Amino acid sequence: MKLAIALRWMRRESRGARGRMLYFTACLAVGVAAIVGVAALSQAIENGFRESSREILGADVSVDARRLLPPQLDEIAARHSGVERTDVLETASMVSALGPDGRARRNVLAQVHALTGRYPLYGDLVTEPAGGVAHLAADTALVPADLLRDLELEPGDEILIAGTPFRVAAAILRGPPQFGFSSMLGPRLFVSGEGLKRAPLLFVGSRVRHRALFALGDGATPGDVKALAADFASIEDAAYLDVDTHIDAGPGGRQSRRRLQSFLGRVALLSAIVGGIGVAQIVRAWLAGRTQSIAVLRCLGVRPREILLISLGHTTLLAFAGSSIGAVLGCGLPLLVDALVPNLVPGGLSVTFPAVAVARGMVIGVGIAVCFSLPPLLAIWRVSPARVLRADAAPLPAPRWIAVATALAIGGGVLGAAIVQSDKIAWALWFTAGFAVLVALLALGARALIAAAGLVPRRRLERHLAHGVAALARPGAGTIGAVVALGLGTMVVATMWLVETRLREGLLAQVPPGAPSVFLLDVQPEQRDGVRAALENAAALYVDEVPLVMGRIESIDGRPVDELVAEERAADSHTADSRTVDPSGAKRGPGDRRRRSLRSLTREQRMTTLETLGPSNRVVAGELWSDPDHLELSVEQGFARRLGLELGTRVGFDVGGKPIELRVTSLREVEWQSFSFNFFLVAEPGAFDGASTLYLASGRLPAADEAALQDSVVADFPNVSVLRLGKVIEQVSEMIGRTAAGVGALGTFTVLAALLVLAGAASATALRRRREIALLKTLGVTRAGVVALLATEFGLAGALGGLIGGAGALSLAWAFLTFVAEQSVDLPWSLLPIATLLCGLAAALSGLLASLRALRVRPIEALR
Amino acid sequence: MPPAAIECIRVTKRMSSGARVLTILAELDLSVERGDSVAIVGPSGSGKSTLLGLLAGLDRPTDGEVRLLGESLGELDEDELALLRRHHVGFVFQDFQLLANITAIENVLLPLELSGADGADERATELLQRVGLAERLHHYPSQLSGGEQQRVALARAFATRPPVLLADEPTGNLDGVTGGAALDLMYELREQAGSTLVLVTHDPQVAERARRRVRLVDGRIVSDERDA
Repeated sequence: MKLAIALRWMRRESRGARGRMLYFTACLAVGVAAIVGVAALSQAIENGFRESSREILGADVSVDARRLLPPQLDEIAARHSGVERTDVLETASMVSALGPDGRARRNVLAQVHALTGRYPLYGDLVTEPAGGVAHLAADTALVPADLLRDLELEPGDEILIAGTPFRVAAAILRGPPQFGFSSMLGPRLFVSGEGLKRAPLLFVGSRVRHRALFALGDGATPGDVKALAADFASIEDAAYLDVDTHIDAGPGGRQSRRRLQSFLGRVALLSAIVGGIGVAQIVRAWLAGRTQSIAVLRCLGVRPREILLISLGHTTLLAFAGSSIGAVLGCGLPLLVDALVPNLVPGGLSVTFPAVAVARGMVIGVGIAVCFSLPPLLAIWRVSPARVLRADAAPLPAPRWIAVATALAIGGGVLGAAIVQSDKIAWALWFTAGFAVLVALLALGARALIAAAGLVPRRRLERHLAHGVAALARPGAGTIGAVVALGLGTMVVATMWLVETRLREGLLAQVPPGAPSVFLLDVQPEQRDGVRAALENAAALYVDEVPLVMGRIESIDGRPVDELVAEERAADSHTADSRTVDPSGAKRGPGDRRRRSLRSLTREQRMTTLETLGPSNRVVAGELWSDPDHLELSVEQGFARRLGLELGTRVGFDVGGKPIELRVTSLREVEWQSFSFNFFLVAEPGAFDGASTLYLASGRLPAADEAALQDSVVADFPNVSVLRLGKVIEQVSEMIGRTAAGVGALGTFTVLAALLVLAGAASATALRRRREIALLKTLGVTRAGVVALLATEFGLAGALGGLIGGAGALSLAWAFLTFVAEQSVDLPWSLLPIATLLCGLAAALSGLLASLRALRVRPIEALR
Repeated sequence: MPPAAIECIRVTKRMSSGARVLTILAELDLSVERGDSVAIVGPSGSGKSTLLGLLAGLDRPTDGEVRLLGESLGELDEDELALLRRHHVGFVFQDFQLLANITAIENVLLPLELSGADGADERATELLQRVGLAERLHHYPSQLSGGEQQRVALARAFATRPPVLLADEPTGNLDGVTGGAALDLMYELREQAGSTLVLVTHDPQVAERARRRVRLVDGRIVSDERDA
């Protein structure tokens, strides 16, 4: 058959198929919109971050460490032209307003950043009154406007930072953005370098991060930036440095964003596949109505494969139209999000045409439509041309290879779409297998329920219900496909909701009953008794106190750390070429493990001394304090592996300038989730005698009393930071909630696609329905009666989908929470009736909307 | 001498109806010469339409052989049968069997486009003019009366000037006057195309128009008359 003729026939096929086309294109458009929308939004977010990456990092290159930065930084910076440096000392402290009694009131844990140099090097620090860091002097601070409001302060008032008074020089209205964990530590205020020295925050063992920010100026190329960063990274004896550039650093948690985007992309894929089920349903119903025409065509000499090609061509054109509509909608998503959430990304989203995402969405949309159409199109072979003479002519057998090929098409379509969407073949294979099992289970469930519906004695049922139950089991109703699609959609949304709420609850439940609720950090030796008394006065149930000693590893088994570092670096350069690169851009491999061990070797170690281990520690090798001849060390087993420490290894430390050698006599497994103080390195009591020691204290008390304890501790010991576990959990829980809301919103696309599948099935059987409705009206059923009958029919199908989807969600959520989150689960069975009811209502509504035309028809028109 | 247009050699067709096996045609022999017109008559259930289906290759016999223009249909697969019909067979049905979603002229164009004929549009227009539907070219079947639909079906059947025309109760759904007119038209077109006509009918008047009348009862030929 000539192409021109085939195209002409395709055009003719589309006549009189408005309803079919509408739902066909809508089913695909929803899925493609989800796929393109997620990708377009991700791209706009990444562009936004990239364009403002300097403002986010606040520099071209940032170098930071938990110890003093090496002097070579200046020498290296001097070798590069036009480099400007600003130093930021980052620490945390309690800040308070000064009460009328001269004591601290309204205490808040905040980040204190001390600046030396121009700040920010890029971006803005907008203050009221204007002027930014120009306001900073030894006794002034810049404080976020929100914090000032909470403390009931205004510019010009006094604020206490670790008990030291500062004058609020200006309120910060907008500053360089912060992301990740640091943003959860509390509001950030700025003081000058001299100012920080006034507050009792810098002492041996205090938690200070030293950061140097470098700007190369607007003319700097990425090459210049990378060269400067490479020079910093190659400083001898400074493996403890973290060197980031605005180009590679992944500001704002790029890795976690990518993981989230990839997950959302996969949820979007699910809506596209649910749309595919709709396509299959509509094509099947369409062919059922075209059986006689196919028989005529075959009688006139059109070969089945020619009819298939024409039908497939028609399907492809519709799929192209639907996918295009979806792509356009998806492209609009970033604009919508930007309008609704203008501050999602600092500097706003940067919306560009997502060409790759559109191409990907179109390929997936058209591919899924074609693959899902093939099995129903197999019916073309089965239509006997003899039907033109006898309506009861027996169907013909389809060639076996065609039957096999079309059956494989759906699997191939899902696999292909998963590969295109994820770029990962192994994942795509798992996804396809999982999807097949899931659909098979849902279909089995649907089939069983429909069979059960057929057994219900309908005579005893109310009239409408009897009709609905009968309609469920009727052949050719397309019920199974619609129920499976709705079940899938419901499952996605309900699973997300279940997992999110249970994870949030789990966060709280994870805290063991006796775990501390308040942590007191940086307690000086002379403050120990006072802090303990404060805890006891607050009726704290459990009080723990551990010493904290800072030190650096000097040698392992007598070999100096410098030598070990040089060895590791040499090995690293050998393995640099063997790194694998995953699609997210993260490099992983032996080199990364070495860099981690380099950092562990050279960083400041936080150590403690303990007589006995707490319940969250378990000795897995050796014996605790078993060697009377040596000072002993107990090492967490993962840390030991990283540094190559074994039982008997001698580890030399520099503790406050004093050399101490300890021998590893036990390895420990640590339960880090126990919410108690845990350490990689624990020495036997007395090992660090004479060294400068800080103390960490904790206690458990009712939430209502925490604020009072915090106030009394801050008033008496201003340098002590009070960390309230409940507040931290609140922040994490909020973050989980925000993520889950995004996934849930995307999940509703799947439900929408599923409702379209149901409406599409209703619309595709409109011709048959027209006759039925006409007959019912002829027999005296009013229009309201017909509406009630149809609503019951659609509602029952939807309720079945909701029931199956709800059951699936409970199973999936249980499996995820039990085996992945390792959390005990108490599932809400009330989900089942709620999902059943909601899906039933939504299905009744969408089915009725799709049957509006059939409802309006006059009996004589349909029966003539 | 060219082979007969149609040959049936000991053709048997059985069908199962529930647990029973019905013999619709029993060892039937029939030969139709090229250019002849044959009416197959008989009561309902005598196997007339089944025989027509076998002659067109729409169905396959349980036993025996059917030859169309010398080609043994049993040796052809479904695709080859379709091509044979496309190029050599025209059909007229009792219920017209026009495609509902395309217009009158598009229905006539269908076999012309399939056979790849040149000047398809002109030929379709000319045929519809000849059957008196010049004003109805772009009407859909649902917009035409029964008689008009049958005229479109006749135009479609003769569009490619097929050597064989098979007609199943061509006037069965039409009133006497309209049916007579359709029959006249069919014979007129057949004359022009030189087609062999095999026509199934239970109407003696329609059968009388054919040169030969074969009577079937219970799947067997009980009489075979030819005009002198």
